[in-house]
Amino acid sequence: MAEDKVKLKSSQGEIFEVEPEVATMSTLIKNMVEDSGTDEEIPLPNVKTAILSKVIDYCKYHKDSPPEEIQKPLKSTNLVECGVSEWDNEYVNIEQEVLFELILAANYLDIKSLLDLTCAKVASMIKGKNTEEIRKQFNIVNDFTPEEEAQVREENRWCEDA
Amino acid sequence: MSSLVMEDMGRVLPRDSPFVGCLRHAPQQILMGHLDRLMRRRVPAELALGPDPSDFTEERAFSTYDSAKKLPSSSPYVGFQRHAPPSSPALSFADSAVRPGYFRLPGGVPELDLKDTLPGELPEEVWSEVMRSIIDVPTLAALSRVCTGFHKVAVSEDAWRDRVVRVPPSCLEHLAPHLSCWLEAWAAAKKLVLPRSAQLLKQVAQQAPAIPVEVSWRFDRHLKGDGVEVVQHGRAVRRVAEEELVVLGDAALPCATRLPYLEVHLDKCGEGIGDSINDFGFGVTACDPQEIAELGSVADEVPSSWVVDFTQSMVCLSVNNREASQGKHLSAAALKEGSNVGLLIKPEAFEIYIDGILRETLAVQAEERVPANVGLFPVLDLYGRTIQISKTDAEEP
Repeated sequence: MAEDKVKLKSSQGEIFEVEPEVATMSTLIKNMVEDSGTDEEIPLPNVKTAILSKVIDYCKYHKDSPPEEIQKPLKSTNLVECGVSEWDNEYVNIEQEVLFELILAANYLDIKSLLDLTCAKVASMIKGKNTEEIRKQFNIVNDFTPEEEAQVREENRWCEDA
Repeated sequence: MSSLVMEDMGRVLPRDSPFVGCLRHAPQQILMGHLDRLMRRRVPAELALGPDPSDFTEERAFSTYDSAKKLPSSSPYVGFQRHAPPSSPALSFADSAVRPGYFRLPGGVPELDLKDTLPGELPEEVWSEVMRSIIDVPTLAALSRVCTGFHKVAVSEDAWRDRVVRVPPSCLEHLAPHLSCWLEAWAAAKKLVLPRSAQLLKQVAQQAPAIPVEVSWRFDRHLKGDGVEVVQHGRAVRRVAEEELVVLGDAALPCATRLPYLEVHLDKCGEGIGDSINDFGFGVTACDPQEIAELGSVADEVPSSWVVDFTQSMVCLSVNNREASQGKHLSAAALKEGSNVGLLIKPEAFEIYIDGILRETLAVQAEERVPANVGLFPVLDLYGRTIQISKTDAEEP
């Protein structure tokens, strides 16, 4: 049975053997399987072992039950109120650093529903916050020069009290 | 001086004229003539008299005033908007060729490596996707100021792709100089929802004809009774007296791609409606407000109107001030402060929603149906407990 499985190799060299239906939720892997079959390991040099494991968890869960589309724009900071399932909401309830790596992996592997979910999670972390709170949330340094900052303020005057 | 006054006296309407009192009741062609004369009589002394007061003549006063104050024929207030001048500021698109913000810096748009300026080393398209889930006009200022990377994403076409962009009326004046830049950013938007402004709509049609535009109604500052006051740039209206509580919307309800739907939020309600049977009422008129000579003291009296009144025991639909249908599933008791009250206008019935839930359907006879392909303008009546309401942007439930 093992030969029927797709072998995915993380950037740290670990091999994951997964069912083709699970692996091919990734458009990247699907294309590679269609081109080269399932005999060879598929190297994923941009995805660490821990992240690949988490991506596989997502694909296994949604193999037979595609997620509902997330309502955009987000109506709430609570993703469940935006159409996200409880499982998915718990799935992205992770540290910010891991979340960003998961986004990069979803983007690289081309798994649209996972990218939508993780982007929605980041968006929910921004929603309702002011400039300072957003900077604090993501450890962003204000890199505007005073001149640029003044101009951006002036530019935004029209929507300041919207 | 006395000849001027005497001439005016000869032309002033008699005190018992139906056009004296509420200016809105007067046909515009008569009204404007008298307004012009009234304004002439208010010519500031320095304008009328010039540097030497002894140099005064009636002709000089009129010609000076005319040249100084009269609207040019190209003014947006000339023509159909003459009934409503000062509330909509004249917009200046003078700087509209200039790109926004720091894009004006010498050297133009900085080539940013967004991976260095955005958190998580995520690519720009990912941040555009994130931004697309939350960006709108009210959040734009906060997002743009976070860092240069956020700013660049916020002004990008991708961040606004497929989004409905709602521009509140309070933003018009300051948006105008930046309009062309923002139209570039909004090029792939699903639609622009704009307040009624002839100038703005003309500019958008000229500069970005491919962007779908929808006109969003607001409470009309002029087509209202004396007992209500329009506030928050036309988003809300509040009661300031006990009579003359009717207010109209300044634009038709959108109906090109969906059924017309009118929804308001009950911002503030009083305790009880006392001896009165009636409470809040809302509906639509098929009459263009500019053609309405007399507003009426209650919403039902507005010509060509379909108005739902909440009473202590039911809701009833009046068509042209004649009761057409009653519904017993709903009454004024359902009108709670903080609720959203909606009216969906279907060809064969009016559906009433409270907080998005259908609560009553009022059928109409074939001969009383709302005509197809006609603009339907909101009509509201702040009677009973209603103290302040505001419009929502909700679409058909």
